[in-house]
Amino acid sequence: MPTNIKKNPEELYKISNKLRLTVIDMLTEAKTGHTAGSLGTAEIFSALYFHILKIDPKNPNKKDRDRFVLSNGHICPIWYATLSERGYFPKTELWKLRKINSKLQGHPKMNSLPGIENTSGSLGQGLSQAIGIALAGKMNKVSYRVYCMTGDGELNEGQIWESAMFAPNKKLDNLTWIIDRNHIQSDGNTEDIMPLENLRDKLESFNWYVLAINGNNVEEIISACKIAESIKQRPTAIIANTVPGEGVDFIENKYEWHGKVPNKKEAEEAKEKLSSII
Amino acid sequence: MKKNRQEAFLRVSLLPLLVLIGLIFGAGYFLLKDEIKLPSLRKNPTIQRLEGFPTVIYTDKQIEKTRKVITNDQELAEFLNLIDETGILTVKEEVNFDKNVVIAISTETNEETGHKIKVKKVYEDIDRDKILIEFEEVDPEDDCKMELDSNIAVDLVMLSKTDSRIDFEKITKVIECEKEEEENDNEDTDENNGLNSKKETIE
Repeated sequence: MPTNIKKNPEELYKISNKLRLTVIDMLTEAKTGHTAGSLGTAEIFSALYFHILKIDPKNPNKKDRDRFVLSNGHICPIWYATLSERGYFPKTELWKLRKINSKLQGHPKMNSLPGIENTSGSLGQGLSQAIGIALAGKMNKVSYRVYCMTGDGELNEGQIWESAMFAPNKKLDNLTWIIDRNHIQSDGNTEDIMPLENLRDKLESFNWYVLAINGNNVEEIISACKIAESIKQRPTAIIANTVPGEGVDFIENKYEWHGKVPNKKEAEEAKEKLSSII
Repeated sequence: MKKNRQEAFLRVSLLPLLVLIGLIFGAGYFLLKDEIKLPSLRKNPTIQRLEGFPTVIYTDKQIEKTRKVITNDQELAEFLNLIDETGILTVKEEVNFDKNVVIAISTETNEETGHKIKVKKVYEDIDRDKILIEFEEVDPEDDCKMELDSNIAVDLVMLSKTDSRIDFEKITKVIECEKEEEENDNEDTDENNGLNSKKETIE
């Protein structure tokens, strides 16, 4: 039976930083990819895969496993690093990121490797996919939960708001939507490009149960996910306020690092900073 | 003859008037002394479940059971912090503590899932000047396979402010494993937020 392993917060912070170091290595090796979002969401991924999700990496397709859908697929380096750390596939796969014929492309491809539950590309589609999976769970009376992560810049997409209307209408209380609220997107700060605030009020008006947390605090992430489990008759949205590039000061909060990778010197500096935290 | 009739009329009409004035003064005296209450002036308490609040909180913290009447924002914040130290838990409904109180009940920390708590009925005992909160605690049968995940069950209801004493009365219910799904199915319709004026038999 799929289960969660419930690492404690101290262990989760260590795992988060280990994942960040792996991401830096992956991106430096690939020489292309998205750095800020990958680093900024490490705590969310470690909390999900090492505490919350009821999964079994040895039997990754079990019917009653919890599902995770990554809608902002460009931050997949952190997902790949997490899946590998959790034992879904060997670490050697990680160094093939974005290489021709690699199973780990710049956006995830469903079933290319165990644990990759969805395909992404154009933003805005993942929440609809997650809703479909959650609805299927209800219809088939299988008691898994579905977790979906989207970016905040991604909320510019109209499809997001169609699905945001649909999920509460279907009372999908087995769905948790995590919004990586890092305030940056490819071309600038989110509030300069397409203001989202007041995001909480918007989602609540759609009848989501909304929680706002510090997305770099594992205790808050765990607590929010647990509260979401206990909410009945409607889905939960967690606005996870994260620092893009968390842990590496010259990357933190700079939208220019949305889709840029560190050069060799920057990578060394970043790894030094991250290692000092561990 | 005409004069005599006028005198008789005056004698008859003054008596009920005097009686009426006497009654008004008498009632006024007792009203001021608070010895009689006019039923029509007493408003029925109103009750509303706080729906935007989770009914199960997963926590590793060992928490004692709670039976609490919350009368202000600070007490509410203290209660929320007690059950969720991260501080992200909020009550979605706006509670005006000038007009209402919040009744908070919770179980102690349970090691496994399947426990529930719910305010079922609120009685007003006018004679004893008290409000009785009747709540139900539901426990799974011992042999039910529940998930090990420590949690507390919580229920919050908003009650119109009252000077009456508030007491709590628990009904414990044990559910058979196979009936659990049936209970869940009825969850959205099993609401009883109304005020019951008469107490029912408790098993």
